[in-house]
Amino acid sequence: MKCPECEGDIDVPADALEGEIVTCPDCGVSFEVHKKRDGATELRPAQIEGEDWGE
Amino acid sequence: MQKDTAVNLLVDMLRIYSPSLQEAQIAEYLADRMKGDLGFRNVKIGEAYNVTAEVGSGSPITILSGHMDTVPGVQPVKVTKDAIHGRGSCDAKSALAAMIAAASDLADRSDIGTIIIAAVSDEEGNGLGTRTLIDSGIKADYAVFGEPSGIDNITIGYKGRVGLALTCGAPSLHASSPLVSQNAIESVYEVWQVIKKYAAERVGENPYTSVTASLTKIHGGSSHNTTPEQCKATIDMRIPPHMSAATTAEEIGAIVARFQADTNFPKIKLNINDVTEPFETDKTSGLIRAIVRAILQVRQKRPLLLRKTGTGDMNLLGHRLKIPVVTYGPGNPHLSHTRREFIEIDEYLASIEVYKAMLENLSRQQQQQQQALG
Repeated sequence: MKCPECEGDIDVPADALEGEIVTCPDCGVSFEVHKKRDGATELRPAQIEGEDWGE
Repeated sequence: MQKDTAVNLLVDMLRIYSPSLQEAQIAEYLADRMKGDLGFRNVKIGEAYNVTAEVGSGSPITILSGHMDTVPGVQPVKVTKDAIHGRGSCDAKSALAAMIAAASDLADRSDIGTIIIAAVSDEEGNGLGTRTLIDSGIKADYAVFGEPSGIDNITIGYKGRVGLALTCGAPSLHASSPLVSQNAIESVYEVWQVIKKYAAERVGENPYTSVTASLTKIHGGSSHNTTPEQCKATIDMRIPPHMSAATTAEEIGAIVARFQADTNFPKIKLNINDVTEPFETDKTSGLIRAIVRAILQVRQKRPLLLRKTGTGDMNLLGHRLKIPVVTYGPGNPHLSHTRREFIEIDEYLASIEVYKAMLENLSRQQQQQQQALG
């Protein structure tokens, strides 16, 4: 699939789960896999990164 | 593994008090259990009391590593309906116990690659256990380090660390004559100000991408009316992943040398006692996919990928073995090192399932890759 951010190629595995995270190898932006009702896959911006202290 | 067996394994581990460099007893306990009913092979107590053991065979080879030691301070072990309390219940015997339980559950499987349990010592000290493990020549495709990230969080990056000490000696004089000689405390403080400026000039978009410097200890002086004979300060610097800890250490050395060139006296001695490189795992790696899927499968929740401003043994594993590494384990990390450590039993048991699902995913992903290559 095309990266919504940079048009780079993102390899989305055929068995990707709803909510799985994929990252564009070109721009490094991460997306969440969303399965539409018709079975098609779309990539949504992912709120998946946080910061913390410790160790 | 039965719920009671898993709970009892953790409770037994908590009942063995094991602050850093006092891990012999817990190492022997774990080796006995893994040789016995838990079904491991090649169980060894190695240098630094590290315990290693294996299940499965072939590839991928995955290290599940957790630390046996805790910070000092006995905390009574108590089991309630929902939680297990005690020193190390959160940081991080629950993660280590969960890893052992997960690998034990997969011991009879021939399709999950090789799983190496590495129970290491001295994580709360100077990382002797992990350094020794790496020096032993261990090889793997992936590694997971067990620390309390929270059941739905995966730590993918840590900052590096440069630890240093500044020592300055000067004549001790009457405080009424400060112009006669340099002052040891003031000289160390002047160098500290330059190091602080070095960090301030390298502030990034957020704390994770910034260099930080903390003055953590300062000792000097003996009397209110005498100039100090000596001053010693320790400084803790944290280094973001786009920078090198070794280069930072060299640049701090140059700062001290320049200060010394400008003022011949007093002598400032710099001792760099820790250089740990930052490490962040590539988000496109198979390990990230496997553990994200595992949390989705077991927890039906979207995991959060964390970057931490601290420094962990994952830095050593990732940087030196050059493999993808994440830190993952049950427990609230903000309970670590406190006197109210506990782990929720449900979270501990769920983490066993997450580790198992992750190992199965890694193996399945490898099989898919091999099939794709024909």
